[in-house]
Formats: sequence, C-alpha cells, structure tokens
Amino acid sequence: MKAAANIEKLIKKFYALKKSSVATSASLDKRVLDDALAAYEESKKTSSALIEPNIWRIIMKSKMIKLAAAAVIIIAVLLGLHYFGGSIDGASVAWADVVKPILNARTVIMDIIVGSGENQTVIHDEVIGSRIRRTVSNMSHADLIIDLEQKKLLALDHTEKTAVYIGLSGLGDLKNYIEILRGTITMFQDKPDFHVENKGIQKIDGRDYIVFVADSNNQTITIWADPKTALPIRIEQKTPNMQITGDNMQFDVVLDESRFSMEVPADYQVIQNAGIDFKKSSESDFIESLRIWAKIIEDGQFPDSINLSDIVKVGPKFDQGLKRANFTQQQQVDVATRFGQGLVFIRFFKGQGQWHYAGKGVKLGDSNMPIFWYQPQESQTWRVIYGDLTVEDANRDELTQIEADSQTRIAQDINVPKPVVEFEGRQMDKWHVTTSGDIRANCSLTIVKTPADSAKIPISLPYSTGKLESVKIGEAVLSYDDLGKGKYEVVLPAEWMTLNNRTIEVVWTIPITSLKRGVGGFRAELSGLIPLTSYWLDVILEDNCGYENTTDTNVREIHPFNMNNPDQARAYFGSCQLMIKKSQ
Amino acid sequence: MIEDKLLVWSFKRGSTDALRRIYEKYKNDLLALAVSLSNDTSFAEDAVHDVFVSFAQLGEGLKLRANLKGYLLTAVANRVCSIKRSKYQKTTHLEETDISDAACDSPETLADCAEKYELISSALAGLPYQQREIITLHLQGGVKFRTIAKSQGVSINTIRSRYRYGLDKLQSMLNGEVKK
Repeated sequence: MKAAANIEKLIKKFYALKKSSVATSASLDKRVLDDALAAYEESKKTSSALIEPNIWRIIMKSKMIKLAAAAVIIIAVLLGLHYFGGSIDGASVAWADVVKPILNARTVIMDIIVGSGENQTVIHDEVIGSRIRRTVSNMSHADLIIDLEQKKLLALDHTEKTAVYIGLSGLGDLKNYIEILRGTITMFQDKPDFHVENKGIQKIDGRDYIVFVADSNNQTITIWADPKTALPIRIEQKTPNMQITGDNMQFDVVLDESRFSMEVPADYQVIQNAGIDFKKSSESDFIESLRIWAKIIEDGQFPDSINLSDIVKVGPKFDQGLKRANFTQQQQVDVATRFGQGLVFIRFFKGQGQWHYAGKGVKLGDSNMPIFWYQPQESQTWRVIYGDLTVEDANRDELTQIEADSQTRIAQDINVPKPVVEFEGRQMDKWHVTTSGDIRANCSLTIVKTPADSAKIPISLPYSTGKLESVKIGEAVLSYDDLGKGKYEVVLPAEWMTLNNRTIEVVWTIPITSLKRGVGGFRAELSGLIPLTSYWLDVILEDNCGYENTTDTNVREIHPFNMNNPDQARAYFGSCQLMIKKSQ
Repeated sequence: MIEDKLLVWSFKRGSTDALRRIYEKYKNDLLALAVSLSNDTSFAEDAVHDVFVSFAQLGEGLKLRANLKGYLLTAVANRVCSIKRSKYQKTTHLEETDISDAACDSPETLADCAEKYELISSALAGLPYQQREIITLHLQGGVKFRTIAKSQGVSINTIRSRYRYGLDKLQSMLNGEVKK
C-alpha cells in the first residue's frame, strides 16, 4: 500500500501532466474577453458612485493636491488673522508690563487656535521678523514658510519631499499674528472707551497667572501672564463673531534662521506653482467657493456656517469631500486655488455693513432658499445669492422678508429635531420570471431598527413603475397606502414593537420588458425597500417563462448579487447584470 | 503575489489591460481545473467563461478575501459544482486528452504514461465530487485548505477530512494497479 505522501505526489504529478496538455483556444479567449470586457465596461457605468472614495484616496496621495489643500487652509487662516482687529486707551502699569513683550519681541513661538471648544485646529507658528514657519495640527506632514515681505508662501511636504510656492499677490501690508496683535493693542489703548481690569491670579495647569481683561467696542482681549516675569503665556481676542487664542507663547527665543529660508531644500522637488490674487475680490469668485464648499466639501449641502473657524477646520473635510470628486490632478489644484480665491470676498469684505449667511440645511440647487446676502458699496439694494447660486437684487422690503423667513427657518431647525433612528433592515429577494412575462419579486424584509412610535413604514420599490401586490407578516395581511411612483406606506400592526419576528413578506411585480437592456441580458436595479445592512438577490426562471440563461440554458436559478455591510445601512446599491434572454 | 496585487488594484480602478492580463495569466490554470472537475472540455470552457464574465462584472466592487489565483480557482470550482447541481451534466465521460509531454517522450514511456493516466483519471472520477473538488483545488491549483473552507462555508477541519478521505479512497483504488 502506498503511503499518503506518495499518493499526493502521484496525483500532483498527474495534474501537472494534465495541466500541461490543457490550453484555452483562440475562440474561447475571444468569447471570454469580449463578454468580460463588455461586462466590465457596463459595471463601470453603474458603480462609479460607489468607487469614488477609492479613486479619491489614490488621487489624494497626489503630491500636488495635498499641498494645494493645505495651502488653501493656510491662506484662509492668514486672511482671518489679517482681518481680525480692534483697539484701546489708558493703560495701567501692570497692563503695560504684560503688553511690552508683545510690542517689542523680535521672535515669537506660539500656538494659534481659531474658535472655541474642543478639538480645534491648532496652528503652530514660529515667527522671526517677517517670516513665519507654520504647521497645522490637521496637516502634520507639511510645513509652511511664509514670507510676508515677498508675499510668498513655500509649502514643504516632508513625506513626499516635495515643495510648492504659492503667491499671495494683491495683499497690501501683510502682517503676522503678533504684528496684528501689536496693532490691535495699540489701537485698543487709544480708544476713549478702553477699559482694562486686573482679574487677579488664576491657575492654568497648576500654575499661577495674572489675568487682565481689556475691552472696547464689543471686542475683548484677555491676557494671562506670568506674575513674576510679566511675560504673556496666553492671549485671547474675542469679538461677537470670532475668537482667536494665542497660547503657549514664548518671546525672544533664539531661532535657527535657516529654518525660515524660502529656498527649497536640495532633496525636495518643486512640483506646482499656484497663486491667489488678494486684490481680486469678486462676487462670482465667492459663488464659486460656495459651489465648491457645497458640492465637494459638504457633498451637496451648504455648510452650517462660513466663519473663519469653519474655514480653519475645513481641511480634513475638504480631503474627504474631494474623495467623492473625479478630477484630474490639475483640476484638483485649480479647485483648491479657486476655493481660496473666493474666500477673499468675505475675508476682505468691501460691501456696506456685514454680510449674512443662511445656508444651513440648504441643498445646492435649491432655487427658493436665499443663502447669502450683502449690500455692495454705494448700492441702495442688496445682492441675494440663492441655493442654486443664482443672484438677484432685493430692495429693503424684500430683504426684510428674506431675513424674516431665515429667522423662521432657524427657529424650525431648533424646534423640530430630526429623527435619530430610521427604519433599517435585512432583505432577501427572489425575483421569479413568470410565464406572463413579469418579474414577481418575493421580498423577505427583516426590520432590525424601528423609529420610536412608528405606525407606518415607508417602502420604495426599485422601479417607480413597479406595483405592490401584497404585504404580509406571517399570515396576517398588512394594509398600505400608495404614494405613487413606486412608493408606499405600510401600516404596521399595533403589536409591532412587541413582536419577536419582525419579518414582513412583500410581493411586487413589474413587466420584465420594463428593465433596462444590458450586454447579454437585463440590468437589475439593486434597491432595498428600506435602508439595508444586507441584501441578497436570486433570480428564478420559471418553467415556460420564455426566458433562459444567456450563458447556460439549463441554469434556471441565478444569484447575481449580495451585499453585507452591518456598519452602514443603505437603500441603493447600483445595478447589476441579469444574464437572461428570450428563449430561442 | 505583488504583481497580482497590482493587477487587482488596476482592475478595480477600471483598467481593461489589467483585466486582460489577469485572464491571460490564469486562463490555463482555470481551464485545467474545470476540465479536471468536469471531465468535459466544453463544459469547462463554459465554466471559465461564466466565472470570468462574473469577475469582470464585479469591477470596482471586487473584494478579495484570498489571493487572486485562489479566488478565481475556487470560483471556477463553485461554478462547476453549481452547474452540476442544476443537472446540466447529463453524462459523465472522460475526455480523451493529449498527454504528449516531455515526461513521456519515448513510445514505451508514452504508453506507460497513458496507462497510468487513464487509471488515475478513472480513480479520480470515482471519487465523490466534494472530495475530488478539494483534492483538485489543493493539488492542482495549490489553493490552501483555509481558502477552500471559506469559499464553501465549512470549517477547515471538514475540508481536511474530505481531502484525507479522498486520498484514502484513491489509495485503495490505485493500490497495486499503478506501478511506481
């Protein structure tokens, strides 16, 4: 008797011999490749939406876009800090002591936080004269060196060893944060209503600091300083709409000047030049920024607000949003630059009074909803931008109505919270191709999540022309309302929440000829009756139905699709090919 | 393996070249496996065709749990099994195959090889399909037991047992008949 190892060896040898004698024929190659390539092309059309995130992940590895996106955020921050300003008068001796290092320091190291609350983006600045070396907490792979005199920014990506120069043309007297702060303090002190208060000693992280609060004309500056050296450690500037905090401040630290060079390091490759013209502040550029923000960053919806703190935080979301786009690399750079260019309009606003934003909850394309309005210089009317990004002029009465409507919307947002839980389930379909030429879909829908106090469950058929035939739970028939276009509301039984088995059996029909034709068969829309975490589809060709499997006429049951994603329920999964055709 | 990863990566991103290269790389392995499992060339060709078209349909949605080769081989095995279950294969017959091979180059050796070949073919054909499938996937396709177990939704121990039973049966059928 042969040992098991010998049998294995023998069979392996047999298979090797057999394999060497088997080869595909040219006709088989052609048949397979022709059909496979056709199916492949078809799949691209239907599933492109699903793969965009993957595409973008690859695109975002592009050296250019990382830096371009980073630069936009940096520019936005630069603009925000530049815009921020205020004023004062009547300093006390102690106040003068703590502001002295700010007014006289040659070098500064600090963290800048725009906005309040936790998880804010932290901008780390090292400042020497007119040059800043900056890192941003949500883009740690890059350093940015800003030359305020040359009005130029050099972004260095240390992961990719690449560099990009970005021109900051059109800016007048561009200052770093500490220079702005100096100007603010000086102006603040000159104001007649200036008032400064010594708040005494406060503890931060177990250490004592003396705190001064200075205010004037709705602006407040709070300084925390070392009580022994009078050196400020934290400075907080507040207006009704903005808060900027300089933290962990160190003054006159010796810094290595070579780290502030605008020369690209020898082993770095310059890959892209871009620029933003700060003199160019136009409504149309701003509308383009809104379009990019809504379409790319917020996936079709306008942001809740467009303040500086939102701009600073937009980086990671910009990345995620761009994952959904499908641009060439050059287009990506263009998008990032256009986004930054449009922000100039609100950061250097030249109209009368203030601009107003009301885009929260508005979808891009909604022509009825005003999202932004402002009054241009020397104009008697206001410019109103709507959700479809069209612009109209409004007189005072019209603007009053717009503002009132906007307030009503805000109130409704507060009063009517959106439901947290939606229906969610698992579904198994068996689509029977019947002798009458219809598809009769038997759907077994197990509902795993039900919103509280639900009396009805809304369901949508995959086809608007589909017809719901019956809904049952066990043997009990459930009634339903026809809402039109393949949508129905099924009345849940009163004891629904106490049922152990919440599986409902849904039957709907549609003529098979209503399905789109595809290569070698029909396209099936893959859509759940409700959002699903798993979906399974089988297709059964009933006897004498007049249809057969395209590739094998003897196969009467096919399984074209299944998906399982317990983490996220979805209602639509694209479409797939049903390899069936009319019988010969 | 790296090449396969690159091919899959390109395939998922819409490269028709990658699709062609995957087919060219594995077409003979797939066909040989299908022939071994079905003993019918035209049946095997259909199975390879169906699997590859289905594979192409997945496109960007492809999710590989095994390596590419293992994935395609188990898909072919499943396809063959599925067609068998649908009673497509009305008759089972051994295909006459040209085994003129470097190992059998003289008339005497060729005759001896042909005799052994026929015996082993018959023995394999006499195995229960489940056992033959595992033996073929493992010894011909080099597919790991773990991958086969996953594709069939059974435990790896079940696969190992079926494999062992199959070999035992082959051993008893071939004992004394196949000269070393």
